[in-house]
Amino acid sequence: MAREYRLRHVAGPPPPTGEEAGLVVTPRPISFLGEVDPREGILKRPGETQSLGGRIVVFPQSRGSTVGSYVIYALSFYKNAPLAMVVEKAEPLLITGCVIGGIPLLVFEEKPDYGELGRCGRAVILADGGVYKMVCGQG
Amino acid sequence: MHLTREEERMLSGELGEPVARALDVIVKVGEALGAERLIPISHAHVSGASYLTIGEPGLLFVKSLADQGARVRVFSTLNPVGVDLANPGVLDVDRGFWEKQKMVVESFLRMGFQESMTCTPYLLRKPRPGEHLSWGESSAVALANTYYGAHSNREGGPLALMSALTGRTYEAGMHLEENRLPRAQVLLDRGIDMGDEGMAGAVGYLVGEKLGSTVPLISTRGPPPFDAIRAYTAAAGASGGIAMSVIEGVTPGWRRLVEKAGPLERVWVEEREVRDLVPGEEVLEDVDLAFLGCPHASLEELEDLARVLEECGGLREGLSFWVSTSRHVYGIAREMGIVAKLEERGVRVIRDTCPIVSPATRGRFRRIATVSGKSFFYLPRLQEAPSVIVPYSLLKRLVCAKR
Repeated sequence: MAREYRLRHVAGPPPPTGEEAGLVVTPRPISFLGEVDPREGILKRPGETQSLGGRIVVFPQSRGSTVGSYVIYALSFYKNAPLAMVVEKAEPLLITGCVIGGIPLLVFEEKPDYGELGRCGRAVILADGGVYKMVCGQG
Repeated sequence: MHLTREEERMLSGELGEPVARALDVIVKVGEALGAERLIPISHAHVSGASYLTIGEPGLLFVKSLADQGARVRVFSTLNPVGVDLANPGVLDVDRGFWEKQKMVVESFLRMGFQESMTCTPYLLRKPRPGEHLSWGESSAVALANTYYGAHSNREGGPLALMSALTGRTYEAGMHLEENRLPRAQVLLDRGIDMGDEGMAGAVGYLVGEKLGSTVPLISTRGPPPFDAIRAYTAAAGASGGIAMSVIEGVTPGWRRLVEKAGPLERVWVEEREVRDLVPGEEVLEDVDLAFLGCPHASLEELEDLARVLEECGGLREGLSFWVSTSRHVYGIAREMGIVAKLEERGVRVIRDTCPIVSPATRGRFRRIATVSGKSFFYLPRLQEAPSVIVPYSLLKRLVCAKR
């Protein structure tokens, strides 16, 4: 049975619901400056290369340079914006990037299991009377 | 969110479109963080001034605000850019980049920003304890909270810009005392010398990796010197999201903050972990660039380096040495004859930029030696440049002709 994750929408436009999308899961915080190439729309660091455009991107939180907000904005500018970003903790630089880049930002209501999410492949965000939940796709 | 009359006027567009847009962004970010009101700030410092890091999207974002007649409402400073504007020949940067970079800078200056181009705004205007700031530049934010006792979140570059245009930020995070209390105590092995910039940077790097974005309490044997504290906070803000540390004997009001925090979870930083990051002399053989100035070098660092090189007969063969600093500190150092001394010994003294945010670094060097834990994090990521942290004491051994 697919596990559901309850989410809270914190910034950017509301997430598109009912739309299954690729799921990118990384258990390490992301430094948008230096680890994301907005022109190519990829997260790139040693041992990890993942495409972000049109996907639901799950990670614990942002870290590193405050220029990261411009990198998030640039993802939208180059039409490589994720469908939504879902984090454990929303830091100011991440929120600002999502507000000016128009990217839905959501926060997990309880600690996620990255291993389990990593096996999902695809996921869908559903609205349930003002609250959101994310459900593993069929893969 | 509760807004004052003046803020309502800003939001309604009465003070122009850029002000309305700026306030709207601040309100949205504040609401996401649970803020109930906005607060006035005394100094905005924006990150994201190098064309290398913000690119075309950032340039257009900034330029469109300037074109609409946006003006700063408080003292506002600008982070380093990708070139030395005062001395174009000092770094090899192509013409196309120059033109774009000049458009970024010109846009900020039209809005009324200081021509500061530095990541050390605290050396231009010293923050006061309890004062509210809206700063980008993670290293400066962490120093403002940790060393000066001022209040700033790690604002994204665009948010700090919006604060410059409105004189406001949202009241959440580091602006509230309850979020400034330490949440973990970092215990350092005996052999770790927090007085050495290189070692302090390595500790910051590890604390950032281990603690993410908590406020750590750092207990040391005696307060570290200013430049070592800068190295520590810069590294912790790069590898993690640390906006503030409470350092015993350093952070204003540290006793009160520790008392209010109560018992803390303990986290060890072991000497072995620091040694893994800060290797011995054996790996320095293929280093062809040594670098000092991340964050931008202070006057004391420049003076110290000049003295070392004077004593040891200058740079060894085959090694380049770059020092980056602000034009503010450069001006004082030049008056004192320190710049001339460094240049005579073969050191390249760079203003307004640094090897991390300049295109002049990429693909030029086999291995870069830096005393800065922050550069150690970003050089491989932004410049694809292999780098190594060296303790300050070892840097002296590394660079000298006579060892």
